[in-house]
Amino acid sequence: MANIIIDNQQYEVADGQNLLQACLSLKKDLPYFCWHPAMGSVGACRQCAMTQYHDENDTRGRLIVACMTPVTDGMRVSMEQPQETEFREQVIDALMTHHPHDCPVCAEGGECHLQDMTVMTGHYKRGFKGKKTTFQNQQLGPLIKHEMNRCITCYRCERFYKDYAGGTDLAAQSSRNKVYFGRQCDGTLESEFAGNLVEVCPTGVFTDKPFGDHYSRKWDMQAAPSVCQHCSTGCNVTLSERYGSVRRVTNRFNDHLNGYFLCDRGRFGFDFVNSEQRQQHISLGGQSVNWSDAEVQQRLKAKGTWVGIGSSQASLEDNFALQLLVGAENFCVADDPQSEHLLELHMAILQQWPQASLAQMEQADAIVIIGEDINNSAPRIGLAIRQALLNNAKQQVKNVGVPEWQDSAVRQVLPHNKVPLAVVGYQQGALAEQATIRLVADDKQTAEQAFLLANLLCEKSPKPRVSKVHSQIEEIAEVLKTAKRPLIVGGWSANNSAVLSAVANICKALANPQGMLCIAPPAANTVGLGLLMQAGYLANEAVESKLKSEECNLLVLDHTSDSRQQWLQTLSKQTNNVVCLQQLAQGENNSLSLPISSFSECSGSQLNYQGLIQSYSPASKPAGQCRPAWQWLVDLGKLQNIAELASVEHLGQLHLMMSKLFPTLAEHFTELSGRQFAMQSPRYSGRTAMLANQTVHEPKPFSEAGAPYKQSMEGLLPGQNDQHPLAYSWSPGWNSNQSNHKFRDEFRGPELKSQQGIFAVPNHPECFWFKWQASWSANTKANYKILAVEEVFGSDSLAEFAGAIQQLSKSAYVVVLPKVASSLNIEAGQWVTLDDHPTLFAVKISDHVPAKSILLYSPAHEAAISDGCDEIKVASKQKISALHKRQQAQQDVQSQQKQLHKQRLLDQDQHIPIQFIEGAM
Amino acid sequence: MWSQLVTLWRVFMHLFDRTDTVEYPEQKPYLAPRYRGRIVLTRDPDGDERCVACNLCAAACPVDCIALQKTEDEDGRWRPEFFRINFSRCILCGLCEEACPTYAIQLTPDVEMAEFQRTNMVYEKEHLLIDGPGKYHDYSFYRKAGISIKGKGKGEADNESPPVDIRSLMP
Ligand code: SF4
Ligand code: SF4
Ligand code: SF4
Ligand code: SF4
Ligand code: FES
Repeated sequence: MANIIIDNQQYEVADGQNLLQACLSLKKDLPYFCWHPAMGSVGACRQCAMTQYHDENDTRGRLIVACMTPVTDGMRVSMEQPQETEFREQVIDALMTHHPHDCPVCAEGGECHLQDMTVMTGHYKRGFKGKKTTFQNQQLGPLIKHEMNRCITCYRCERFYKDYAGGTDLAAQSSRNKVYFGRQCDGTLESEFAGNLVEVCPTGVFTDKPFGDHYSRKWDMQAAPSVCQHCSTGCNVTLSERYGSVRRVTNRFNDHLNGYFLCDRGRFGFDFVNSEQRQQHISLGGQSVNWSDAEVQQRLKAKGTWVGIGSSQASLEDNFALQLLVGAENFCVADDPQSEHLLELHMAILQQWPQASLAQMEQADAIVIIGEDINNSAPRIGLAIRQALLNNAKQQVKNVGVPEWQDSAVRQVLPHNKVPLAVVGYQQGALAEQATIRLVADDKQTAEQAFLLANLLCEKSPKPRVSKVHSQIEEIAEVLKTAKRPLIVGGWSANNSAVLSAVANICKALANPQGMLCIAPPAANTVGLGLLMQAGYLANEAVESKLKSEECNLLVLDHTSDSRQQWLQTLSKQTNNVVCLQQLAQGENNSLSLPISSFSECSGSQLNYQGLIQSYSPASKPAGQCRPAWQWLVDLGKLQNIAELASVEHLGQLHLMMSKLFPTLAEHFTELSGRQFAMQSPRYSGRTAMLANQTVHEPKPFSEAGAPYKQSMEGLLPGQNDQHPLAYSWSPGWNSNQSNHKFRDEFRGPELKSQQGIFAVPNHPECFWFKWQASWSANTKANYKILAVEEVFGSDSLAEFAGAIQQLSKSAYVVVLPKVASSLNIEAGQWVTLDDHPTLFAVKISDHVPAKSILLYSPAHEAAISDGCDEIKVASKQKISALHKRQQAQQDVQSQQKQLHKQRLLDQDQHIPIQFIEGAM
Repeated sequence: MWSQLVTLWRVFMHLFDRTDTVEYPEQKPYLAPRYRGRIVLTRDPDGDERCVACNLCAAACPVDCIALQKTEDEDGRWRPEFFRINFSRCILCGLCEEACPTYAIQLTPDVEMAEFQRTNMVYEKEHLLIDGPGKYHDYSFYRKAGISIKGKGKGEADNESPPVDIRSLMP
């Protein structure tokens, strides 16, 4: 702790920070631009000027830049004397000389850090009388809009994009008052973190394009704390709603998970909730029907066993209600035996090893990634690992007395102070390219080598049959032995149980209490299903035989993946009664489907990769006949006389029942109750006009029974109660997301606090070795083993329903070794077919493909391919031209749909669904 | 006593004053152009809608009776897709006019708004939009703003120099 004197007041602040950070953590209003808590200081804008005094007799002092000045014990500074306040006003004056007269037509307006800082410094009139410099804008793709005139050259964009996220196609160009931030030429930004530019840029240069198409001011949006649905990280997000439709997703600060950044899949993928394909009515074989129709009732009351299939895309509550309804012995948790096995194993490991949070991962000093494509399966975790690569450089600058937030100093010494990053497996991607140790191997070899690695670290660890240890593995063993805080990363990408077991063994062999583990499951609530699984389940393989042997009905919680759809098709041959609870209408069949609310329309909880339970609140109301799945299930319970479920009236009761079964959850659910927070900002407008075309009677604000929020301006404001998650970030004078610092004890202080929250999976410290199983040694007989790879855009079936993500999704490709390519006489970029599979694949050539294998990516909505293929053939001309036609047609459809989608949403704004608002009509 | 007498006298003398009360509605009082009555949306000197759907009027409105939604034209102009004022709530305070950065929303000296049905007091854009510039004849927001719209590229607004060539090496 250091004692510092600001404006003759003494304060105690944490050591190791800079003065700006210290002032902000004291909740002072000190203007700044270029500093960012996650990106350190560079001192580019001079906005955070303060005066430092030698001692109490010094009356003149000298101007300093707070963000570049470390706090020292006894330092004496001022923030509110004329000399620094005038200086700060002049800085804004200079920054604003060329600023366009744009605020009313600027998407940043109302949450603009530049507006806030201008008001804060008191600047109000342009001093410079000359002409304004102007710039041409660039087309940066479907996600980001560019308006260069508004730039104040704080360099935050470049520092985030290049330095923090490792992007290569955005940089500062030109010089003096012509400095330009953009790409070399027009084109889609390549980084999957580009969306963060919207929040990082303190002005309206980079804005959210899909949001701009259906725009609303921040103060006008009803905001709800929510959780991302597009991977297992469980990033915290804010959903914003206006006139009944969800407008955008923004980052909601969580110091241990997403911090200040999201990936673009999460930021733009939410749009599936507004998709045309959203089912709004009960339908039977594609026809709209009513709940009370005889045929529907007959289907719902059908005799015989009900078999339930859970979903990792649905909330814990929905899955739990389903499990209650059908009974644990009839509740199936996975689409195929392999994922079921992986889930079992995953839960076993989770019980033994707590999983590191992202902030903890950022502190690793050696990283080993085993058979996981973390960049694509959980992009935000990949970004966190990237930050860990700086740790040695940070240590190095600290050794010579330079604080670690001196960003450019750290980056200077980075090339000579690399953190060891080992990648074992076939996965490609940015992290693999940065690896200091890389072993290219297929999933089986990866598992074998990982088992051997564990054995090298500890002799007790079981060995597989092979015993040839690769030199890279030996290297990794050396690195791990010396590392203080090693991080082991594994996951489901390789779809191989041996990889998971190996990762657990390495942890046990390492026996380092500081060691960290991270295993990434495939979906947002996979671990939630794993938790429910502990109460018993129906094995995947038994489902089909059960359907065959007895009179069965199938009750399915919706999942958008292709494998689920295929499996359902086979199953529906065995039974005539399939009831689906689905949010997105998919395919025509003979099933009865009940429309369910998406995560933006109801409350729910899910478990992230750590088993951390997180709840989300609804930002809007369900339209049409949509209801939360658990409510449909309760009604089904009533029809089928399942007493336990039939008595449930609100979510709280369901939570109580869950807590009985899983006592760890109890604490989380009680935390949620208490006073309600307001979801609308104090400046929310149009309350008495937005429904006036339908009714002039203003309805009562809506909230679910016992819910912690209110869809109203009344209730707790941000920061009034620390227990509640923030619905939106705002504080007087701070309209932008930079208001975050008002709600935190320590503004990214030097010490990381331990992670808050309830981990649903109880930890059992005693752990065992996972044995190598003979069945893992099986090899495919095909000529080429197919190894599936993922893409950030394209592999998440849910996000594919969002227009912007659809536009970015790649078409299918294969990666082959150069020697395979030359032997088959194919070139990069050519189209090939595999065996008699109908899909065409673009060819890529890379050295980093395991022998006798090919890497294959196919989009989530295209039929999956088996694990081997015999023949790679150049596609015939007709097929290629057919494909081009299809692609062209698809593009046309997409752009048409985009227009229709926009118009539909705009029309919808005038027909807000009010039937769900209490007291309306 | 004296003061009461004076008061009585003064009141009595008012009997001979000119009357201010007029026979409304046959006869109408003069209301100055700045009088705060029925709200209109105006057009800029070129005849285009002035409102850019910035939402500031809605935020300023103390009774929250303005609702609108932004959309963007092919030509790059921001425009309200719908613009609704619920006059049964409006208190004609004029704060919206003060907040408006484009002079689009203006109060007029027309105060004759009475209906038997509250729903008839809900005005949509087609009811609000007039053909002229209202009280401010010359102002056109897009001539000042930096964003480009059809017919006005970068650097063509007032007081702007042409876009810089960022590839040029000239000092
Ligand atoms: S960046 Fe901020 S200050 Fe500049 S035009 Fe946009 S809202 Fe206004
Ligand atoms: S574009 Fe935005 S983030 Fe980048 S320098 Fe300009 S103002 Fe800063
Ligand atoms: S990393 Fe995962 S949870 Fe986080 S924003 Fe991206 S998809 Fe969502
Ligand atoms: S303040 Fe003016 S420009 Fe903005 S929305 Fe209202 S009327 Fe339109
Ligand atoms: S914030 Fe300190 S110089 Fe920019």
